[in-house]
Amino acid sequence: MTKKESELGENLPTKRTARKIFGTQQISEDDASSLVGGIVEKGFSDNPQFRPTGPSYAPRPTVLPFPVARHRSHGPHWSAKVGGSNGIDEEDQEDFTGMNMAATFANPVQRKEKINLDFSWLRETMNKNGGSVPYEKKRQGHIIGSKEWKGGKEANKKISDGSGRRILTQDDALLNRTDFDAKEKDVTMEDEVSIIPEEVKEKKQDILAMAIDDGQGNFKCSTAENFVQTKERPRGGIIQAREGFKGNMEPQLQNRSIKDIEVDMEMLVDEQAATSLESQIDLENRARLEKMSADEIAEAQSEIMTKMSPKLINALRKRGQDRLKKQKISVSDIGTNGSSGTEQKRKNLINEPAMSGASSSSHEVLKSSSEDSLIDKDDKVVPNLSSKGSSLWDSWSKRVERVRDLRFNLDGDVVKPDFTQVSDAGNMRAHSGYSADNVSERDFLRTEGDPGAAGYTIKEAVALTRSVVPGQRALALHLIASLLDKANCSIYQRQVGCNMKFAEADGSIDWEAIWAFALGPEPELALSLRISLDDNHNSVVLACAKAIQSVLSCDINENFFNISEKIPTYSQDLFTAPVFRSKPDIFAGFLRGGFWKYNTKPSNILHLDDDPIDDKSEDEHTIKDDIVVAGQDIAAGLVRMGILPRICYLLETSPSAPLEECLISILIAIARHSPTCAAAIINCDRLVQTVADRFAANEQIEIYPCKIKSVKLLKVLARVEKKNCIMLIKNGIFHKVTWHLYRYPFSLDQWVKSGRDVCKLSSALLVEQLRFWKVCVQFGYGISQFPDLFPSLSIWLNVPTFPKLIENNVIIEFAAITKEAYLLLDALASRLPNFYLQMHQGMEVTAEDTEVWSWSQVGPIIDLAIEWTKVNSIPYISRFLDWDEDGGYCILQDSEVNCLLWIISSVMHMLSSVLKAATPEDATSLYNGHVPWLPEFVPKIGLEIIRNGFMSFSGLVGTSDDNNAGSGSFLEYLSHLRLKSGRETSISSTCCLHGLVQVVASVDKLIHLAKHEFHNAPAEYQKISRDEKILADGILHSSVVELGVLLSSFMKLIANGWQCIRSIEMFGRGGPSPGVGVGWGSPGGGYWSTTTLLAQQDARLVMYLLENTQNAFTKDPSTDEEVPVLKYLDFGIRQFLSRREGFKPFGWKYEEEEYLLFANVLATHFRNRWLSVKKKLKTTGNHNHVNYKRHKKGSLPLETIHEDTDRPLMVGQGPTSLIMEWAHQRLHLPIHWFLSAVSTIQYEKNTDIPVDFLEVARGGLFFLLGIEAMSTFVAAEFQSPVGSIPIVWKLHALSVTLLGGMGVLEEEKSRDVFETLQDVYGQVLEKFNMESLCFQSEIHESYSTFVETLVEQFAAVSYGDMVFARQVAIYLHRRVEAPVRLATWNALSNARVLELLPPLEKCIAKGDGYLEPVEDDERILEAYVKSWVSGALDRAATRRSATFTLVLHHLSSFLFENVCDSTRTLRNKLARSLLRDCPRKEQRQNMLMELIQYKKSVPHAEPISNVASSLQICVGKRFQLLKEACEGNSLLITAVEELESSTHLHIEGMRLS
Amino acid sequence: MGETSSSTRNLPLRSITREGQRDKTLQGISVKCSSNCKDMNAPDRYERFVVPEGVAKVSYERDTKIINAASFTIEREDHTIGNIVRMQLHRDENVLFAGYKLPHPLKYKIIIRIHTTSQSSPMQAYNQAINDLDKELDHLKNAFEADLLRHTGSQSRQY
Repeated sequence: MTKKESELGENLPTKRTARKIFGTQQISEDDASSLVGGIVEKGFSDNPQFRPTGPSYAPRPTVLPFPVARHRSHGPHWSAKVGGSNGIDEEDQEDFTGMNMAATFANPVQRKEKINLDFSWLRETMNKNGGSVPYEKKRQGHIIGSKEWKGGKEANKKISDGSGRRILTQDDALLNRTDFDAKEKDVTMEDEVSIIPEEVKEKKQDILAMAIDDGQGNFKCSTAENFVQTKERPRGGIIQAREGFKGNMEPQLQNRSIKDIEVDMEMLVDEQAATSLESQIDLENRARLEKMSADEIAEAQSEIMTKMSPKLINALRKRGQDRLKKQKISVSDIGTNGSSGTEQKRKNLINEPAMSGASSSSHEVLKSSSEDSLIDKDDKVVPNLSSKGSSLWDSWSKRVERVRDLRFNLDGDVVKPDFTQVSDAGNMRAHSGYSADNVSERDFLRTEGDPGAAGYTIKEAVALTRSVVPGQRALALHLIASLLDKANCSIYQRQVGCNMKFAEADGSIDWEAIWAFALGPEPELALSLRISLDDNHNSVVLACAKAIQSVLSCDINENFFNISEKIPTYSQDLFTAPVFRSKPDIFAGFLRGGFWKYNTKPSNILHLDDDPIDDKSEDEHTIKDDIVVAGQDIAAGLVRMGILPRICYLLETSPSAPLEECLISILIAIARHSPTCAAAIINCDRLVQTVADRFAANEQIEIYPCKIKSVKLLKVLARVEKKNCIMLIKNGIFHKVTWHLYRYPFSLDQWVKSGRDVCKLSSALLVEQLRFWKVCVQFGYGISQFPDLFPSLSIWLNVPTFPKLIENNVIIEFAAITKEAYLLLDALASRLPNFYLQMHQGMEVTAEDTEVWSWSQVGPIIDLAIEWTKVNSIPYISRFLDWDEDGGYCILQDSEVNCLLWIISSVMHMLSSVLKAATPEDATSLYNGHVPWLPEFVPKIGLEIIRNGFMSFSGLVGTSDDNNAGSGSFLEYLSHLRLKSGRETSISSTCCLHGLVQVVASVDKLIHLAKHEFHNAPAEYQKISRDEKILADGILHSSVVELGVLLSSFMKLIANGWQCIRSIEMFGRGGPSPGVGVGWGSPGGGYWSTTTLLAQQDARLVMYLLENTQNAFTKDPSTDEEVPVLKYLDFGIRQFLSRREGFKPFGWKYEEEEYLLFANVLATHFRNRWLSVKKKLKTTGNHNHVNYKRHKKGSLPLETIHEDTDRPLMVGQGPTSLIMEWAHQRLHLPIHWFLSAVSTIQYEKNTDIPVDFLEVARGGLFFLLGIEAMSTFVAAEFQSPVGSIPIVWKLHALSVTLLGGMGVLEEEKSRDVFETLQDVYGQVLEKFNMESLCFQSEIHESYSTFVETLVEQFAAVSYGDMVFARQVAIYLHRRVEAPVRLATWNALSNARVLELLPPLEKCIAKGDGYLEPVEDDERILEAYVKSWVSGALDRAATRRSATFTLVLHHLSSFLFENVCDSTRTLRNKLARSLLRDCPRKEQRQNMLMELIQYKKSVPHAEPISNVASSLQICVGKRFQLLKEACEGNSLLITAVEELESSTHLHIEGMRLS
Repeated sequence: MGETSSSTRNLPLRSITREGQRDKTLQGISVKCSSNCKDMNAPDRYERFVVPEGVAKVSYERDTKIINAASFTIEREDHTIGNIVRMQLHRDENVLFAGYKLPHPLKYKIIIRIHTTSQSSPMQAYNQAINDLDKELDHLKNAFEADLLRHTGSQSRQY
């Protein structure tokens, strides 16, 4: 209060006089009223004399620099009026629209005149006319012309200048006649409704604000200020309310300007009774302020109720009901609100198939998936083409649009509108939607929608952040933060993949849409947050920081990255910036899955400040640009608005701990956002240094959460780029923040004794520090410090005494450190020079300045690690080694098991890295192909693994009755865990398995290489123990059975993994919303979910098993893997052809060379098409991908692995970054990736090697047929992705091949394959004969153009090729969308190639599909007639082409069968043009006769004579119809008669013959 | 189609196997635009109608896979000729397939593909079509001129 007055007071003489008697009731009321509902723009006065002359607009930022925090109350509401959804009380506001328009366009002077217009005379007269006036105020002749409406305080002030009077508008019967009345009615209703809510709301708000402040502890100063206001405001409000009711029930007491209230006060003096009560009320209010409870509120309510006249209550109630009814109607009309839920839901369901991409037409999915999709199918059966046509995007934007009206309470929950209560008019509570309980929600801070509703809309909350009252700002930010947090959590908790299946009816809240709306461009949230961060109140800044933290979804992001960093094989993070795929183009056959692009151009994130030469830039750059950027990507927008310097400043001013934590979290999120943002942090002056300094500032041992976060931030920055890492090391920040690692090694006991909380914090810090170090190591730095660190590390590396840890409940903390330490060692081990290389050549330092680890330090570490492989001695885990499959067990301490598994997994990976380094790179260069000697640790590791029961070796004959028999092995246990336990444990057990298999494979390989020693000593060989024998035979080989089980179980697991990925790419731009992280608002976190992580991990394991255990499975490995794979495919095709009906086997065979050619061509193609990176990168990674591809092809169920496709693209020796970008690449693969070989016309202009597309297409066709055939053999529980791709896509792909040229059809083999594919798809079409073929909505909007090009191609070069013709004819299928069909027909007709299409029997799928249902599209019927008349059909008729049959069928059905009045005009028109045309040519005449005699052929059903007689009857009718159609035109009638006679002759002839 | 084109163009279209004759009426047009087009890699404009030395105006290639099928490449022509020839070919009872395409907007040639019954041959059908077109256009021209004469005559009589 004081602050604001000091701002305003200078200019406000009137106000100052008022303040002189501060403390008296009148003045306090005055003051209060200025606050209650009247948020005043900073620096703007209410006084008309000092009001700026210009018209006031809503605060629309346009210019640099940031405007002062403006407030919405400055601007009139009308300019911010939002279309459609705000139309609730349009009628009520009619008069304002006139003013609105004027206000928008009027220049200042005009406007001022308008303001001064005094409308009150009009009202006066009308009120006088209004007969029944129940108010004494009225009788006294007080005419008060206040104009109040929601949000329109500006106008209120202005108009009351002129009149300064009030009007009473309680009687609606007569006042209804004018616009003013309508408005006033509205206002009074509001006021009535809001009297109680207002005071309580104010109170509540302030208390809440105080609570926020208190909670933070550090902001007492601001609290004090708020407190003053708190004291004043509510009291004022209540007084006002009281007075209002005592004195004549004047309802409009709220929401007034100061001047109004002064006037009001004068009037109130008249009321003698009222003044006597005032002091009483005041006391009462004060008391109430002390202890505000629900009871008291209720009491107050009832008190007021008693004091209102029943008549007035009735009047108000009626009004309120009317209004709500109106509202209801308008709402349902608009259809944006929940009341029309059922319809919406239905629509959703209908749209759903289109949304979920393939699911609609995926027969496999439909068969076995949940009821949901079955319902979809049922819904789809309804031929509701119009609603189907509405695209995915439309339904999504509808959902988002619906959020506009949602209101939220301060906890971020949605406040439901209480329309249902309206019907119950019996009590007072019902009619307004308010009761004593929720009355507190009501206030005047609303700017849109229904001012009487509870809670705030998102936009209102955003507007409130610009309030002049700090408490309100903090409150609004608090609301936003909790709202976003809620949304985030709710989205995250949903299942991955259930993307668009949002049904409204179940009462759930559409949090995705809320998230999208809040972050979308409309509320301009980023701008408000950015402004709020500049606030000078600490509480506001803190609330703002929290809100930003929620916006950037920091916590959930960190959760995910925390898990992902535990995975030893997970080397690269992903940047979280939202991206979208580039649009499909024709050269790629419209195939989706182009390159990813950032939603925001990276260059837009940082605008160049240092460009003083170009002074234009200053003018051009506006905040509008910032808002646009923020709309695309909110984090980018914040960075662009200069959040970083501000954060830096805040950090420098030594903020409180919670604020600092928030700020650093924000920085982490920004650093994770994109390379540009990370660079911005690095380049921001002093920012990194400040963070480091603050870390080191208080050198105490004590650890704060923000210290942990600081380390994390630095780690993320280091990960982003190698040079950041170097920079951090060089300027000593690295050492500064990791000094904890060097501390004198204290004992574990001490650590445990320090207490659980301390342990937790120190564990978290150490983990982060170790991770930071690991990053450095991965870049090749900081390795030389290892000897210094080893002693302090070793206490974590040892197997501890578990009982003590368990006793103190710190086992998780301990395990976290240990796991991280081993991960660090893993990273170090991968920096080991090759063991044999080193032996031969001595130390050879690499040219780079990076360091390598030395073998001398490895020895003790291996010993330590081997300790951990004794799983029997580890609690929780050893227990399960004895588990019994039948007995079953439950995992009670999931997290303990989990963290111990993480340790084992990292130990295993460390060992495997060491072993890898010990494996000679090139076996052939070795002497005899064998290593001269084996390091000692290799057999040792192997033996430990054998001894500790990691595998059961049940496959080994003769040794099965050993001690291990009967009990499960560790491997079995792990795979069991994978299947049965929660997400994270599943991931950790998969990692363990992966590590185990890796270690075993490496040991095997090394032993194999050294084996000649064993061969030399066969005598000794006999004596060795079982374990050693296993070792010698190869561990993998000894456990083939187990591995086989493992492999098949994991293959089952990943076989259906593709489904969860699919939903992520639902939208063109940035997923559902432009957020950061957690899948940009897609459910369950989308790509950033443990589900995906798990799927990736599974896939990694399977791939590793496939790549490395082949030798174990097959005795003699084949040297060339590619050809057999294709051979299998070929075999599958042949099987398929011979088993299926209606297919004949090929009369030829593929040659070996062809397989080889296909393999090469396809591998190259797929690599270029899907795995290439946009920028020219080092191609070192390519070899990997070849392998990868090959294996994808190799195992059929495996081609579904999309998850794993984020393989490091730059695996060369010098990674420059440990974070990957989505942008510039195409991964992950879209589900239809294998179609690319077929449906690519021209691709990759920049590839050096010219690609023979014909070869690619031929290979692709073969491959496609192969997998189609194979997928029919797959067991039903696998939902084959091949089968789930819509048939439309496959047909389209075939067409695209032909667009490229005829080459495919010219070669015999590919022609046969092509034709077979057509037949296969024809069968599919028949099988699922309910789906429509939505080429246009499914593939591309301009599909008609594509079809035209195809037909053109057909007409130009095909020679009428039958296969090509069939392909074209499919577009005339009745289930194809009308526009596409029409385009096809027209193109065929124009090119005069209708006759080239095959007879109907030979088309793809059965002919009925082309004929039924009968055509009803007028344009197509007209097109048929046009082709007929123009002669394009003549030859088609002679050749019996399908086109002629189509025309005959559809036209005869239309003209003769379905005769109804609605189609009369068209029928007559068509018939006449046919008749007019016929006399000229004999050919046409015959055709017309045929049309008249047409009957859908029922082949060989009846003898011809019967047909003829039945024909005669119907032909007679038909001629009658034709005559009618002539409409009396004598020429045409003669033509008909001529026809009739010749037809009769014809029929007679038929009968005779 | 104007009268000049009908008289000048039908000649080279028939000279199938001979070396390409350049359209004499068009030779006079010099290469004016070449300087304008320097900065683009689009071909010079005269390329559209000047058949290069050593290139046949029309070349004939039999299709090896299908009997009685062939493609004719006509240099320096576009849809004007392509469409009219194709439609004329469609009138031929013996032609099973007739189509033309412009392989590329900047490659100034068309390819006409013809497939006929055994009663005819692509070459025959092609020649027939050209002849018929010639006749028809001549007829058109004559009719037009006669009418024009009558019209102008009647006009002059009025004076």
